[in-house]
Amino acid sequence: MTRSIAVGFDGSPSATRALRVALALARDAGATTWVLHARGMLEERTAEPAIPPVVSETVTELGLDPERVRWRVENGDPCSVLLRSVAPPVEAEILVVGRRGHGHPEGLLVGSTSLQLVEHARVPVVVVPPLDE
Amino acid sequence: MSPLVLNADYGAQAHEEAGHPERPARATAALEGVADLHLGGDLVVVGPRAARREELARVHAGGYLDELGAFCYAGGGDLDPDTYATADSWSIAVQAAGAGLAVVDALAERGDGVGFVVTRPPGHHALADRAMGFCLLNNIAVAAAHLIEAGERVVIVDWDVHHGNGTQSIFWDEPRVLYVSTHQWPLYPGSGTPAEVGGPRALGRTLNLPLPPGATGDVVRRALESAAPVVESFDPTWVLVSAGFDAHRADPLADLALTSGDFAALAALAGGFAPGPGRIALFLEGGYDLAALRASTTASLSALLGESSADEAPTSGGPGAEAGPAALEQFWRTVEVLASSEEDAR
Repeated sequence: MTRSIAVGFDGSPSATRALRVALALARDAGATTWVLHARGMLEERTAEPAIPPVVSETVTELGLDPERVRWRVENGDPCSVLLRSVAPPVEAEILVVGRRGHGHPEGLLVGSTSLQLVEHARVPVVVVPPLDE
Repeated sequence: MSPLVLNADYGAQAHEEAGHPERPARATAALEGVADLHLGGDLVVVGPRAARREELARVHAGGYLDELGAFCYAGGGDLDPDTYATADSWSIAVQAAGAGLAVVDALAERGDGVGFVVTRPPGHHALADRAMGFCLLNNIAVAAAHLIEAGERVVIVDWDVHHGNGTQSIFWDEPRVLYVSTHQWPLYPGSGTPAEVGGPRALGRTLNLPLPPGATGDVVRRALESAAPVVESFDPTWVLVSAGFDAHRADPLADLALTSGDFAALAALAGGFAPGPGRIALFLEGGYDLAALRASTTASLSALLGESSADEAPTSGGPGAEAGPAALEQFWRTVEVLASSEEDAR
């Protein structure tokens, strides 16, 4: 039984799609969803972001128990933060990430969180494609 | 006085993104810091050279090198929320990695002097197969791999305010490299706990000394001093320093409280780890306040060159006095536990 699903969230449209998929998976599995925001070196100097309204709205729309959805801000790049989430306290058993749309060199491993995750993760990874594909 | 062996001129001005703190003016500030030493004939400038593919491939995956090059030649862009590349960044990064090689080779040939490599983009966050944290290629790792290939044993002292996750990861299971890092915790990139001690073949070859925000120079010095027995038992033949100056109290990206005088003290400590003349080189990593970068460069290098020229006094009294020794204790405990479970597994 899956108990914990982690999804990377940076507020982008692809992240929002990934969030919906992660929440739907968690609802079906009865798992806790950890919504992880990676805070980079540049963002670190700003105030820690609160849970974005779109997360709460999507939780409500999909009929999930808000207690089973956790918002977590972690220092690091998006790929490292998701890879580390297999350890406590998140202990993710599935990682969910959005893939960027056209205009980005997605065929390349460099700069692609989703491809890097697939390359390195020790747990299953769900890559959510953009709407335009 | 020892000569300073410098490599800095490889046209890194074209690696720039508007508004980004990792900018060409940083290299200028570091070079002004060198000029402030008024070295005259004691300044030895070694010519630029590009790192060869086989030299880069000792620490980076071939596929990553191909793709990073292709990404840059296609015009570049953002590699993650922090890290950019321009159309020129590949050739600049290859020159930056080569600059470190040129300096260590020149030091080895001379048998004396102190090396300083003004590397832009910086390198200590770059992983074997991933750019991150402003870094594309891991310059200091390329130099360390070059040295161990020649039979040397290298201690990398990383006093940048951020943990050098890339360097740690590249040498995680390499017994011929000892990685010692002082850094603010918590802070980007989120790694660098004392429980990270190296892989099965290199247990105890990674030593992390995380320090709380506000830590002053005495705290950082004490932490690095506490590492001395580990370094001594490793018995290095070379010392390479990831010399970021973003632990300075004026730096906009972090919260440690060091001054240029503190960097002079750290440099003197690192210099004490070197087995003899011509066996230490500093690699510029972070440092985003230009005046602090300039003054800290002067102070660090002057301490290593046998003079004292810091314009700010060392600091003391900040939080975390016990952080270094406590981290060392946790390091030894972890090494012991992992070593005994390795033993049991056999």
